[in-house]
Amino acid sequence: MKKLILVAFLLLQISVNAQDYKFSKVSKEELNEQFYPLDSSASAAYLYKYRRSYFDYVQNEGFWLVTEVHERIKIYNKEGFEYATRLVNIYTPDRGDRESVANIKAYTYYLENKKVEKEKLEDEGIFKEQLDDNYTQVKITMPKIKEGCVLEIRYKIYSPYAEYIGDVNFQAGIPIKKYQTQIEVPEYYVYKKISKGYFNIKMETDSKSAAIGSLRFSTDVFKFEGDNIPPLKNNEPFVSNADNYRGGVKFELAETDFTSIGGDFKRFSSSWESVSDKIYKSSNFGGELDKTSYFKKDVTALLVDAKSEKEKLSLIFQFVKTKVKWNGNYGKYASKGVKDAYEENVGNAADINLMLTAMLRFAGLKADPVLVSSRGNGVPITPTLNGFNYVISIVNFADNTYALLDATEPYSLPNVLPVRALNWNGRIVKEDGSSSWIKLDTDKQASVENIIMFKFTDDFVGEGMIRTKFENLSALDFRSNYGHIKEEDLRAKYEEANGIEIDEFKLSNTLELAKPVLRMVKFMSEDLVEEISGKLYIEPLIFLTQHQNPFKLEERKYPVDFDSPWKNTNRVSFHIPKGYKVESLPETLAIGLPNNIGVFKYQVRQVGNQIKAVSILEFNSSLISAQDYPYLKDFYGKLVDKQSEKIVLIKE
Amino acid sequence: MLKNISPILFLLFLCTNFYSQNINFSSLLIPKELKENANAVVRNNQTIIDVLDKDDMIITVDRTVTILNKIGDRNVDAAVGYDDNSDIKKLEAIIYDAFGNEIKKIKKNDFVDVSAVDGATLYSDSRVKYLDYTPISYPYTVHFYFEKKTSSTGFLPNWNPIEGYFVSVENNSYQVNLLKGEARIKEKHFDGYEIKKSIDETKISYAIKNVKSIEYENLSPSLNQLSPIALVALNYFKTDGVNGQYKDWKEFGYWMSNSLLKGRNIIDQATKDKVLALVSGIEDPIEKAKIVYQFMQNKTRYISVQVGIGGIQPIAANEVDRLGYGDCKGLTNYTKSLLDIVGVTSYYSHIEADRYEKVSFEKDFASLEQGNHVILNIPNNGNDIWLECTSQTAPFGFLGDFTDDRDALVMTSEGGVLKHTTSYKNEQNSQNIAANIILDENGDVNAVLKTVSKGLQYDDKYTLENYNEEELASYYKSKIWSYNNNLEISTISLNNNKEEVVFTEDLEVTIKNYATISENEYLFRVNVFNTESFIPKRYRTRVSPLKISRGYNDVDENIITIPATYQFTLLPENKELTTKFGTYTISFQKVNETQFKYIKSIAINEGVYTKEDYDDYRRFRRSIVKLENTRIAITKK
Repeated sequence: MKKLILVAFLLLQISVNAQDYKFSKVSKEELNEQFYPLDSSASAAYLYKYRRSYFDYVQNEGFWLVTEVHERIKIYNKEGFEYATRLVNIYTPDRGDRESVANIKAYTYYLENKKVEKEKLEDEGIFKEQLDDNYTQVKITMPKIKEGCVLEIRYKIYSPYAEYIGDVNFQAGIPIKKYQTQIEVPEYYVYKKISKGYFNIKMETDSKSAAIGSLRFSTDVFKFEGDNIPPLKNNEPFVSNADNYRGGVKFELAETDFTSIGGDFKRFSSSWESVSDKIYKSSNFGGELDKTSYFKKDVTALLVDAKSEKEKLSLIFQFVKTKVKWNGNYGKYASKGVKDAYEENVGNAADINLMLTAMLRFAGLKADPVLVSSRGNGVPITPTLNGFNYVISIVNFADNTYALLDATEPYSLPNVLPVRALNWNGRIVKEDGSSSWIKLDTDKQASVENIIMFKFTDDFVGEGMIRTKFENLSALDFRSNYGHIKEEDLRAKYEEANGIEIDEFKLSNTLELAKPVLRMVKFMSEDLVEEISGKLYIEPLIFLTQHQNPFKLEERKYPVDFDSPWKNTNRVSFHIPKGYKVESLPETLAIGLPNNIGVFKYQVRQVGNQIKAVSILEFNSSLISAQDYPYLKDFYGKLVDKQSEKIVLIKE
Repeated sequence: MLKNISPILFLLFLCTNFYSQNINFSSLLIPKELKENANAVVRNNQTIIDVLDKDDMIITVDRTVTILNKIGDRNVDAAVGYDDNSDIKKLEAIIYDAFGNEIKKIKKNDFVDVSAVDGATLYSDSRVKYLDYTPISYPYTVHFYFEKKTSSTGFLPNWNPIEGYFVSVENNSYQVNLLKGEARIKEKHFDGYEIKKSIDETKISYAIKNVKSIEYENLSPSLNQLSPIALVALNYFKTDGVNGQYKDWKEFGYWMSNSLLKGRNIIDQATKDKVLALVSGIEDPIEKAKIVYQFMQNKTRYISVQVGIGGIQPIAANEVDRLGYGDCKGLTNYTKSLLDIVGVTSYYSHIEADRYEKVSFEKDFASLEQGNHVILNIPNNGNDIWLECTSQTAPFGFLGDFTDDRDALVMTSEGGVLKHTTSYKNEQNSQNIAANIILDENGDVNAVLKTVSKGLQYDDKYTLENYNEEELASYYKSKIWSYNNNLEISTISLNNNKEEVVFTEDLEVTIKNYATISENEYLFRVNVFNTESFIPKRYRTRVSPLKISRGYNDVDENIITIPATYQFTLLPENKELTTKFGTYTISFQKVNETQFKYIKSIAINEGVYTKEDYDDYRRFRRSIVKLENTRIAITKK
């Protein structure tokens, strides 16, 4: 009996505590809550986040997509005040149908003398601002905000672009207590639902019947419900784009089928083949590849003396890079069209690389465009049209080798692509419309090699040379970061960064892209040696010593992203100052990460009256998973400790 | 008629026309000395301001700039701002290649049109149209032209011909055409420049030619403290439908008080009663003001909404009261209105807020154009109190480096008056660390330390209060003590004493493997928690004076305990460096067999020093860095 009472009591508790998420039913408990129970550091939280999108038939216009939003937001402290301003971006092109936000209704709830008070949002708190030719931002700013208040906001977005449902995002910058999203789609539409990110909610499917006049049809209902969803945070080093890790589902239209009511059947994207084929058949893609007349004369003249395929390739690649500049826009479709881009000398990624492909084909090479999902766009996992947003080019040679080319980047080389294009796999689209995968991530290590030789003067000033060699992505980065900076400024930067004084500074091969970038520096430094009670202490790698572990946080949620495999080699040698001998040298160390992801080798030796130190750090993978993070942190910790060990010299 | 024109003359016309274009827009003929050290050359920038009436003005800008390299792209500066009171009549740009051949023409509708304010502003009607051009090769030349009609004449563009570092100027001219001589002018830093000027009843004009580019150097006074500038303001004007007139700050203050601020201080009875209840029984006006300030901070938040009256009129106090938000004007006016209710006198004040440069209002030249922020002044028997009303967390009367130590315009009942704000100088910006550091036999550090910060060092730190544990850990590990690997924080306790404006951090910290241990010895750096590493950049030939913007004073007292099985034979020498830029001392003192005291003090003096002093300052800083890395060796007993 006792037990039963307890159960009944518990049930009662639950029903009392069960929140009412109906609009305007903000409870005193919610207003009294001092912090988010699961994360006391949260400055605000969604107590309730609701979205419902459904198709609404408008006479003479067809389906519109209506999205209802209802949010209840708790503000715990002043840091959370930014959530009292809601921004909604809508598509409002100068020409064409426009989206709109309507039925905005909102209140701020707060406690005054232990009583629940509310303040209504008036029109003066709503601002519309045209962001550019295509988008308008609606800003809703709530009145009477104070610590502890609860906001309730409700509005609808009407979109004439019914087929574009967009992403269902589970995570926000603050925690979500109760999450509900419902997408309702008439049976005529089929969507592919692709989950993304590092947080998932199971989808529930249901259906209900609907009618337009006498026409009856069924509607598929997709529901996502979750409790206590953690926020998406980005406070870790080496993360390319935290948005890539936001949990959610993409809705991508796969087909429309109106055959049951006498209309058409259309397939949009169901396999990578059909996605590629569809893109290829678009006039802004395949159509642009067929045009040749605009460059015929120039390219013919360019190739007049070229014999081999490689020679032709390099001439054309260089020609496109210098002739047409990238305007910074991505895109899988040509925006201006190759002809205009050629004449105006500027274009987006597709304009430039489709033009490049067409020229290479014209020259008789086996060139094809490659569809790419850029880094910011996420990894292409499931076939969708939006899965690709960038184009590069590939040339296949008779000896089964190939060259990947991206002419948007002036310092790129065959098979050395800029970081934005280095994302997993790309899709080669052949002339007959068939397609296949190609690996974009490079195996070539971005490499930096330093060789230092120096000696000490009688008063322990170090004087010597450092020669640095940059290869592959390191060379590309060096050229694109510093190519436009004067040598004198680079020299000053290098002095500052390394605490040395420079007598000579020389760069070579900065424009000979096929060769590594070389930097030769003659330096002088008073800070290479430390004298303590008559002994000399010297760090073997002198100013190249890594003193800090870049990985300081205990845990890591997202992978460490290095962009490319890389290798850093340092070789230092110097003469032991006269009158001194070695007391001790750091011991040799060689350590590795699991699965051969990374290796660190370190050795300091005495050879005659010289000390020679070698340090090699290499990573064979550009990505290191969050699971391997503790190993990486520890690995770097050991590296830092080892490199900080000193050579100790004593008087003879 | 046409027949009569001689073909030769026709040809001549054609030639000159053709020729002038090429001379103007080709980059090849730019004098060599203007290209030296320059990223861009302003070939010609002509500004003409036609004041047609008190509420009718036309501004035309004809600008030609040659961009020499990628960094120079930012100097294209082909942009024009507008709002609801203005109308862009003409707007066009033409791009030329190095030889002066036209390569592209951009029409008005092809300019990008965006909001002219940053994300902090919720809404503003000021917008800007700018040219977004991807250069094909360098150098290239942009010829840009616009004509704008506006009904606001309160703000006239300045003449500021030196646009920035690494930009040289071939020609820049400026002309204001007036109805009658009802304008005031202020010229600054004209010395040393050859400026052609002419001023009469109906015309003001300036022109400058062939000014070589200026190289940027670290720790130098900002460019606008050195370069020529002319300010022009109209005595009678209209701004957003409001008539205005003033000749000096006094009149300016009257105008503000009697037009823009008038009737803005009404507050609902309910709030009045509430505020009066809060201060009931309190006599001291400063105590009352503290309560009102706290009330305002709790009730409001900062949001900038800029509409109407050129962004200078505050929204009414009762609006702020109802909505709970406002911008600097609205919140300051609201606070003033609340203080009026409780009988405390305060004045609405314009100020130039700038964290990096203290900019004062011109004593002898009044203009609307000066100032970008509003704060509140409370006269307090000559010991004025200033309130920053946009912060929900700032202590009462604390300004910080955003608005300190400069002349602000205070709108008193006797008109406008310039007053100097509170300053935070040198030793006022202090940080004191008291640390107890224990080293064990494994080379690990266990330390308990207390850090007390005041003045601008308080300003840097008091927001730590809002950090969560994770953010605090990352702040100490990755920012403050990033040079200490393996540092872990066991306990943190922070105290923000707003009354005294003192911030205290109490921490317990461990650092694994801090010392380097070998068979023979045990080595460690004595400065664990406050290592200075700043060395000014080396210049082979320094051109500009040295400016130290902010002084400060750090004193660290460390008691260091070594493992009982070790002994220290020799403590490092005491050192003292004294320069005009400040002093630095370290001292070591044996406490007992296993304990010694390490005391460090650094005091840096703000100020402007000569360019010759720069190298001395650099040497001073270098020596400090070296001494900061002092290590000692202890040996086994």
